[in-house]
Amino acid sequence: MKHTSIFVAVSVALCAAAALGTGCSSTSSTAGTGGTTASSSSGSTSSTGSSSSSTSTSTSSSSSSGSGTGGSAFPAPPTIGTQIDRIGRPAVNTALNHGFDSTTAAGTAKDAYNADGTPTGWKAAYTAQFEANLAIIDALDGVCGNQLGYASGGVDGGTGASYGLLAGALTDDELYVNTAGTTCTQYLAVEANALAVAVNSDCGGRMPGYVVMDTTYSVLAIGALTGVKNGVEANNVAFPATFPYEAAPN
Amino acid sequence: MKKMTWMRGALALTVMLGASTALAADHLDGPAVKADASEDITDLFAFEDGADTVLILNVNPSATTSTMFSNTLQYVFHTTSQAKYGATATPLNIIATFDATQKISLWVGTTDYVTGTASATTGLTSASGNVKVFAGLVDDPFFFNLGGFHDAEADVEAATGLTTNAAGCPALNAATSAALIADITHNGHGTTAPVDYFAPVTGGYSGNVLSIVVSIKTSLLTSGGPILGVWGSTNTGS
Repeated sequence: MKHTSIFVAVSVALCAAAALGTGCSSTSSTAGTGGTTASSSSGSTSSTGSSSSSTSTSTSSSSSSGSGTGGSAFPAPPTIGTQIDRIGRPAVNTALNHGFDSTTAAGTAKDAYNADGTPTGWKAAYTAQFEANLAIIDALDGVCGNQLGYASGGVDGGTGASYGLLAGALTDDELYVNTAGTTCTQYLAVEANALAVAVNSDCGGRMPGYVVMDTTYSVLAIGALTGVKNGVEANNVAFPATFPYEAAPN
Repeated sequence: MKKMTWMRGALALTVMLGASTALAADHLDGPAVKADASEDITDLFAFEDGADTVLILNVNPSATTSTMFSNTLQYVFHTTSQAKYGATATPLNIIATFDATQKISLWVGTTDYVTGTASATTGLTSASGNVKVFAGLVDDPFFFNLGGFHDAEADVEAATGLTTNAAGCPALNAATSAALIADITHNGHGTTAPVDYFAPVTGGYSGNVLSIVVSIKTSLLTSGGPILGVWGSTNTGS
C-alpha cells in the first residue's frame, strides 16, 4: 500500500525528501501490454453505438466477468457533451470565485466557472478574480502579506497582483498526483514541491483522509501547509484503506 | 486605502463558505447544480495505491438509497500526464455513463473499457484486469466544521472600520484575528466542540453521496510522464 492512514494525514507532516526522481515509470510496468495493444484498435472499431450512453451499455456483455483478454471489442468512447459542473481542488469555485459577491452575479459566475471546460483558458479567465478573494482571506490571521506566494508590492505596482502567483496556480484547478510517490500524505504536495515551498516526494493528490480544509486555511492565511485547523480533523466514520476507499453509507 | 464596510468584512470571511450556504468541497457551488443534484459534484479524489492510481468522483449531496446516477449524463475524469508539474501534458479522459438500470459503461481513453453492474464494493473489473470500478452510495467523505465558520462570519460582522491595503487585504486587529481563529476551530463562538456538517443528521443531511471509484493501472495514465493532473466534470450525454 502506498498510502497511509487518515491519521497520518491529520498530522500533516510533510516528508522532507528528495525532489521528484526521474525513474518514475518503474512502478507499474505490468499493465502496459494489455492497454496499449487495445488502444489502437478499440478507438476505431465501433464508432456507431457510442453516441448514446444508455445504448452502449447493452452491447458488450463480456467485460464484467473479467474473463477474456481481448479488449478490442469495446465501443468507442462517447463524445463528451456540454459541461455542467467541474471540480479540481476542493472549495476553489466556492471560495475564490465571487466569494464576496452576494448578488446574482455570483451565481452566474459560478455557473460559468463550472461550465468552462477549456483548461488552457482558465488562467486568463479567473486569475484576477482569484487574486481579489485571496487578498481578503490572507487577513484571517491578522497579517496581510504572509500568504503562500505573496509578492510584496505586487508586480503591477501594488494591486491584487501581489497574489498573482497563487491565484494563477489555483486557476489551474486540478489535483496533481506524483504517481512515482511511494506515500500519499499531503494535499498540495506536488505543487509545494514544484514551487519549492516544501521539497518532497509525496504522491500529493487528494486522499479521502486528507484534512484539506486545514491545508487550505493554512496556505491562504499563513502561507504554510499546516498551522490553521478547522476543528474537524477526520471523517465521521473511518475510511477503508482498500478499495473502494470510502465508508459504507449511513 | 480603501474603506471596507463591516458587511463586506462579513462576506470576506464567508468566502470560504460560499455565499451563506455551505463551504463545501464542491457541494452546491452554483445555481445550476443546485437545481439538479445528479449533476452536482461534491468531491474529487486522486491518489496512488501500489501500481494503481485511484480516481474518485462523487455527486449528489445528501443522496439516499433511492438516489440514482443519471442515465443522461456523463461523469468524466479529465487526466493529463506530464514529465513535471507545469510541463506539456498528454490528455486522457475517463468517461462513465449509466443506463436506467444503473449499469455502468466506463472508458479509459480508448485503451480499456468495462461495463456491467458496479454496485458491489468488490468492484467490477475490466477484461484486461487493469481497471476496476465501483459505483454506488457511500458515506460523504467530506468533513468540515461549517458552524465554526458561520461563527467567524458573525464575528466579522461585528467588526467595524475595516480597511484594506493596496493589494486588497483587510486589516484585522489581533483580538479580532484571535477570535476568528477560535471560531473556526469550535462551535458556539469558540466555546463548544466543532461539528462535522457533512455527517448524517436525523431529518437533515443524509451524510451520503453517490460515488464512482475507479482504480486504474497507473501505466495506462502516465504516457506523458509521472505527474498526473486530474479534474472531474459532469456533462450532458451526447
